[in-house]
Amino acid sequence: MKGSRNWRLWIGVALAGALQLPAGARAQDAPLAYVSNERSGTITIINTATDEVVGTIEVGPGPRGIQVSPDGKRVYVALSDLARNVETDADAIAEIDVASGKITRRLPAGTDPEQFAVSPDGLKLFASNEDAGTASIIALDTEQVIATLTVGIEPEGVAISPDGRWVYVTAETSNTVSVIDTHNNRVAASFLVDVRPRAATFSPDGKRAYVTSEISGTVSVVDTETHQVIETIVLGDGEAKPVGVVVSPDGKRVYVANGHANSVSVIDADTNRVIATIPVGRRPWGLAITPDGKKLYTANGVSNDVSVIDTATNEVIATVKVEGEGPWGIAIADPSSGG
Amino acid sequence: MVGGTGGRQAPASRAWTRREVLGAVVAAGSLAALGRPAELLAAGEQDLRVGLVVPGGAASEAMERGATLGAEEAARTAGLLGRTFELVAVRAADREGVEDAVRRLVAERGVYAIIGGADEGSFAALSDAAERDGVLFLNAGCADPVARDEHCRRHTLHIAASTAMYVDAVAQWLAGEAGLRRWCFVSPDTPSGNAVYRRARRALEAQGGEAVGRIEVGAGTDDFGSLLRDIERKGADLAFVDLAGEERRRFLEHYSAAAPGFEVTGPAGVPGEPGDGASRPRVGTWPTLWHHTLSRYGATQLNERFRTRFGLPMDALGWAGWFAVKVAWEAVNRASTTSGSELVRFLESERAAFDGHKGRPLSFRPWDHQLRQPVYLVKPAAGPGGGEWEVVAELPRAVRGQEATSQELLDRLGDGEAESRCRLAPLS
Repeated sequence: MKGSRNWRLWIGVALAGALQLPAGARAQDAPLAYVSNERSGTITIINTATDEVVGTIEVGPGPRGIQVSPDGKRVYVALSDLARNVETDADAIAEIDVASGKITRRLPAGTDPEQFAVSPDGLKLFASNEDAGTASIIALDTEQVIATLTVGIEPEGVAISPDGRWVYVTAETSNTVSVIDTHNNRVAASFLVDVRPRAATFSPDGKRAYVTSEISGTVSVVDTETHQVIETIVLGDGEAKPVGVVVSPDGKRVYVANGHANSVSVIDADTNRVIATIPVGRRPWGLAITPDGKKLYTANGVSNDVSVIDTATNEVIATVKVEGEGPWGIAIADPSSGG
Repeated sequence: MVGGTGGRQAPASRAWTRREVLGAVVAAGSLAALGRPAELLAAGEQDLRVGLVVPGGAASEAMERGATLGAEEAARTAGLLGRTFELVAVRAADREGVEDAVRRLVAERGVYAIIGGADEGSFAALSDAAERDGVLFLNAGCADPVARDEHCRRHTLHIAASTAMYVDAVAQWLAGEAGLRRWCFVSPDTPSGNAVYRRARRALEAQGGEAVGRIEVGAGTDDFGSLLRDIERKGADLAFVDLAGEERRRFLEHYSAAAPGFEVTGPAGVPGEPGDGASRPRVGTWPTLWHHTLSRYGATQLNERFRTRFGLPMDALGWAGWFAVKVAWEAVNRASTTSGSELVRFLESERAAFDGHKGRPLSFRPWDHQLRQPVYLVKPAAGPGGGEWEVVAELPRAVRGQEATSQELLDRLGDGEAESRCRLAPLS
């Protein structure tokens, strides 16, 4: 297997817990933001109370998609190498214990895992396998892949509805969203969206989903009862390159990272109109919002930093340099959420 | 035969021979499908077919490989949406054969779009036939300016870049960026050769360059040593070589052996790729639509899918064939029709933008039906032996301080509306 020796070395380092946390940083109650740095193989931890870097975890090659468990106690990050179409030791989803900051296990996730979602009950994980054109369903207790489903071509974004029933998997080349019914672990429907769909997310009430399309520069608004696109929102006269998307905890705002346009669009979820465009660092990709909805964080892949946005004023209030390269995804764990 | 699976013989008064019908790719809908476009298409339009008409030879096979991959991917997506998609590939070498093939593909197989243009002759015949039958024709191979001007047709759209785009790309890079501004043109005294010369000279002068001479090369020219010395005597720092086939190969062999003090480029085609005949010497800087070393914007994944499918690197004709099928498939989904004229209207509209793994929305210019797209320049890779080609530039380049939309930027390659000689007839 290509490069497997090097990956094993990385894994060994990571499992040994190469975490550099300053004393006392973990004791703070503020939510922590975890930023995956694709090119440096690390995760940067930011304290959202102070917007300071409080730690770095070495995780191995190619960390991209990153999510938090529903109880806030674990962070999952997708790792993959450059060996396309081949599942290597480096292709995995790593689980990080928030309390200790250490990698506790590596889960199988098929070839080249990129984005994924964790079920609300914390029992399953749904991952896209870009090169294989599949989505994998992994049982978190047994660490087994319990289903591998054919979805669109070059699957990318994965989102799960708040009630855990539906999983949306976007596919970049086929411009499709595949809908997985988690009751039977099958693809129940597929529908077309705009060109090169990247990411998806659900509204907190589960009635709407939002899918970004990078080439079209649009966001498709989806009725999740019918799985149909009901409106398409054009961002920045079509010149935006939307990738990451999140909805505020109250469901009133949708935030979209515009990639090459170096900005974030703010959408009013009632009117589906863009109400603000916020300049941020270079190439914002992943987004995360604090549990109270007051701060939005963007992972800026080229400028190697994170922009912190005050959602009340829609202004950048801090820029945090990551200790790594290629910030890709970002997730916020609230230590107080699950106790 | 290069193609896919599931080919069926056409029922006809004279059945296509196995050699003529190259293959077909079929997918049956198998999953529940929801979604607006599927519902708007009439029941009979759930089974979609496009045709590929090629004359045979290396260029045809390269185009067909790409079209086959595109069709297999479209078929897979169609299956997700409860439809089928099929590519019917037919070999037809002369005008009569092409016209017959198009007529039968439309009448007997219900094909709603034709892909082809592997050479000037088949391009012209396909363009005429598509106009006659009111079916969409996507030209994936022909760049020739004269053929295109003579066949400026409403139902013909060009995936292949125009010669004007290629010469703008090399002029912007080699004259504008690399500072090679004294060009000597080497080309045949033919209508196409003269048209390319005039357009390339204009592109050079737009970059502040100067034409120091033109050497006309006819078929059978053999004294390339004298020709190289003549170019040097003119004080050229670059030779723009618009030769094809054997003449180009021999020019480049002499150039490679003599290693003169000027660079070499031309209007299109990486030496050694399908469609270039036997031109193999790895020298010069050449424009191309695609290269197998591209990695950004999902290019790695596309190149890998192609290599996995065929065991070959994806070349420019392969990309064009793949993208033509993608356009044909997506246009039907988004326009919700298989009508040729309605598809043309859609493809001319602002709504029609496609992803070719080039990082920008690709759309068609309404005035000449040319696909707006980046062009790449390749040259021999540095290092011992200069073995492989590598991409050295993507054109057009954004100009610092000049805001431009993707469309405005891509329109910096090729003829603008004012300079285009194409005058499209209204749609009926």
